[in-house]
Amino acid sequence: MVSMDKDKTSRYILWIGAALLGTTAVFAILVLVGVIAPNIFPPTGEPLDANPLSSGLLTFLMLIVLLYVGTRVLDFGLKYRREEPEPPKTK
Amino acid sequence: MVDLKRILGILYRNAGLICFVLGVGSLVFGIFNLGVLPHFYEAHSGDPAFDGTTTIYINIILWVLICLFLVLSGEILYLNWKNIMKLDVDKRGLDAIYFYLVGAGILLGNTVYLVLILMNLVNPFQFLPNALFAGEDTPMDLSIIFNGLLFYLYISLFYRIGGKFIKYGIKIGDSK
Repeated sequence: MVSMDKDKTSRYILWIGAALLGTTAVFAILVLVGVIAPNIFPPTGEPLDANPLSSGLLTFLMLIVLLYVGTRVLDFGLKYRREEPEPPKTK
Repeated sequence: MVDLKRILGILYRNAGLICFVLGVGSLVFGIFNLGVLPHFYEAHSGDPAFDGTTTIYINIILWVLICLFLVLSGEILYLNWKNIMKLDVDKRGLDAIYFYLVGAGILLGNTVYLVLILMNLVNPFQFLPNALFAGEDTPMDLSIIFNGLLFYLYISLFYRIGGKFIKYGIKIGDSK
């Protein structure tokens, strides 16, 4: 039987993980439709400037890290609920 | 009270079927109309032979990838409608339903965007510059490849996030 407090905390953790994943999705759609243009390496203005492409790739990699963290938080939220207190050690 | 479980089940079953049919249909249409597929990205190296070939190949690859995402989204939605119908609508089941709902929203939003791209109604995002490594010494434009790759990576992100929401919906619904 899971205690009420534990269940409530587990739900909070799960929704924090979901929010992390949701943030990733929202950021990605904003980049994809051109609302946010990643500008980590400022464009030099030269004709063959690879900086915008590098910024796009780096932003994607950062979103992947966010996705990974969100997944771990969700895993923890599920595990937290299932964890049962250890039985007292007997000598 | 609205029977959220039943509505979500119907949404998953029908939207899954529609996505799958759209994906397969677009793929078949593309196979028979390779010459008239839209050019999402174009090469600008200045060498007409190289630009023509690269543009056609990259856009065919993008078309196939977009169709595959539609098929996979349809499959993941359709195969999960029975899991939804098996859920108990208690506190935990309601959480699972919300996860399923967000997952469906992301996958279907992605589907709408991809269909608009396939119909050439929306231009895919162009990470400038238009030409990269193009010149007399190196007559090739790699920016079309990088732009196509980035577009694929960002689209794949939606599929992965939507899939994860659905996966955790299943896990939360199962955990007693």
